[in-house]
Amino acid sequence: MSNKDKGAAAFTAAPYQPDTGWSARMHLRPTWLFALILALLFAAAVGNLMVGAAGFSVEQSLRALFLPDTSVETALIWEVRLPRVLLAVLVGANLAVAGVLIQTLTRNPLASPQTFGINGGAALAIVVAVIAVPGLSGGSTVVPAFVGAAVIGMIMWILSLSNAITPLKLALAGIALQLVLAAMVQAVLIANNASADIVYWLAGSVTTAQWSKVWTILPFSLVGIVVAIAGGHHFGLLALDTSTGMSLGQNARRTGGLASALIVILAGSSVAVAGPIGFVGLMVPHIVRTLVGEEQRTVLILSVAAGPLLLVAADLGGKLVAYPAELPVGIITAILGAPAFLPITWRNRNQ
Amino acid sequence: MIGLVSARLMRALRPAFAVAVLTMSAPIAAQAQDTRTITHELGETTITGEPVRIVALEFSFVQALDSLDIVPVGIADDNQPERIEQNLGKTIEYSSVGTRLEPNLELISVLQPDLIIADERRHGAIYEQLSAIAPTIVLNSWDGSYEDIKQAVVTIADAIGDKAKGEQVVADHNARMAEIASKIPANDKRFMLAVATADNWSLHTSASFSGSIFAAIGVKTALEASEPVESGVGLERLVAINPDVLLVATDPGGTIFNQVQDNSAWQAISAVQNGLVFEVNRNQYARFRDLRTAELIANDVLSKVFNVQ
Repeated sequence: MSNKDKGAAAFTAAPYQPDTGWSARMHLRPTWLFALILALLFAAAVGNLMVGAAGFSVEQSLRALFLPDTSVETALIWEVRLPRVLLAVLVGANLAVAGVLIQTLTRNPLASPQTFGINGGAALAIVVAVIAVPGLSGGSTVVPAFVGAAVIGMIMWILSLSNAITPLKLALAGIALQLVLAAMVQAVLIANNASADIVYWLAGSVTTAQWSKVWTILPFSLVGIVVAIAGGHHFGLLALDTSTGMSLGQNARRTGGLASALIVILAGSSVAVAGPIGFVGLMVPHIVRTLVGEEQRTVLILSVAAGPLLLVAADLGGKLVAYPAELPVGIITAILGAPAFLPITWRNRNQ
Repeated sequence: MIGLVSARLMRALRPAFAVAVLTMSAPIAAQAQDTRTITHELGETTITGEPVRIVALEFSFVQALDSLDIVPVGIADDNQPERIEQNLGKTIEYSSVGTRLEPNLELISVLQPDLIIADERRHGAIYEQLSAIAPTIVLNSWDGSYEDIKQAVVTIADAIGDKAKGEQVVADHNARMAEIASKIPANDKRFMLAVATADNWSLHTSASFSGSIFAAIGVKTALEASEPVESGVGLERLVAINPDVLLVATDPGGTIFNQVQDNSAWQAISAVQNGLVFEVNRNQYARFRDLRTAELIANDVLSKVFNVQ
């Protein structure tokens, strides 16, 4: 154990830098950045609590929040809007952390729960399970989500072990897999005349958040995030090639297995409560690395705050853009994320 | 499965059929001189004689044909024959032509229909292809109002050569609806039909089928809008609309309706507080959209909401 810690410390002292260039010199101090992101997250969350289809005033919202009574406003704030914000926070944190882990594990900057088909696998498994067992809902969708995420995760993990596959090819394989999964979801839905019913969930949405969904995802978020941060240094070593990692005392297989399990738990539980929301797990790790560098634990901790900030802000945008109707948050993250995908590919074109 | 096999068989026998139809249709065409021009949503279609092999691509057309004592040869039944049975209250013999959303043109043409009744929203884009198979009339079922549905019965009756019977069916229906409406006590309750799916709500507005039925029997619709359905909404929107009577249309199995029961925002809705929330069958309240279900909805409102038998 102490050997590993020494290895990790050495690693921290001389961080591995896959993307050379300007970003390495412009790193901000992580503590300040963390505080700033938390402040922005708080602002976005309060904004999200103030806005909704019922459309009462900011003053009414604040009073309902801090002086709850038996009014409709109180019921809406505490039973609809607050669980929605918290769900967005947890899903955002889950996806961002899963994104950091999967990018590290596969040493692939284009990896994310979405681009590697993990979300798609979970979604397909849930759709099949819900149609096979019509009463299935709420917390019970977590089980098929884990199974679907795990199967796809396994496929991608095996592919990533092959040295013959370049990161770009692996990412393409993942995206192809995701397209196949999306087509299979469509096929299952069309065959069962359920396509219109589930289209909002498939886009990724927290519109129908309730406390029950928060309680469903919370234990997985807590365990997944705490373990990811506690093991951050070890996961960081996975970014090195296997032999270097081993020379630093790393048991690559065991660490990789743990990281894979965390990815499945974090992404699978997110899909179970909010549908397959894309781009959060891809964008957030890149933005964070650009700001603070590559140190794994720092990236993880900042992603835990930045993922929720992105999702809560995107959800607020989704509420405002077609008020009083709403756009599912997954559509907003896709609109924001698609342009972000291109520079990431461009920056990694020579690697 | 049986439908599929027989369709395949029929396709294999198609040349033989064609010859048979050609030789048979000559005397029929000579007999039936009666030619009518039917005006519908996408133009005019000329129909000769009295069509008997009819393909219906929406549930409401099946019920309209049933009220005219005609059994269609083909129905876009979503591959769920039990829905047709539920719609008509009896079992009929027909071939499935696939889903309403994407009817199978090959299966339709194999049936050698002499009239196709299609929905504007769902089948407007394949009108040309359908017309190439058989004379096709396009009506508004999917987002049609109650008046559209009534008019459709007359148009369909006209297309099959018995307009008077269609007018009679509608007149009888109007009389029954008027009787129900006369029993409904004066009230200012705001009604809404909300479809509960697995994960969200679809709210039916004043422009929807149920909305126009509420209007026909003299009760208010909670959500006034020009679009028939507001879909993908969460609980907050329901609370904001705050209907006094809420009809929740569900399919069997779990829906979001089960999930919100303990939510205090749900409990703040007027309909919930007044005990005026009724779970109803989604097929009958939202999918069928015909005169039979119009009477069913009106009767339900009378007996369930106002306790008048």
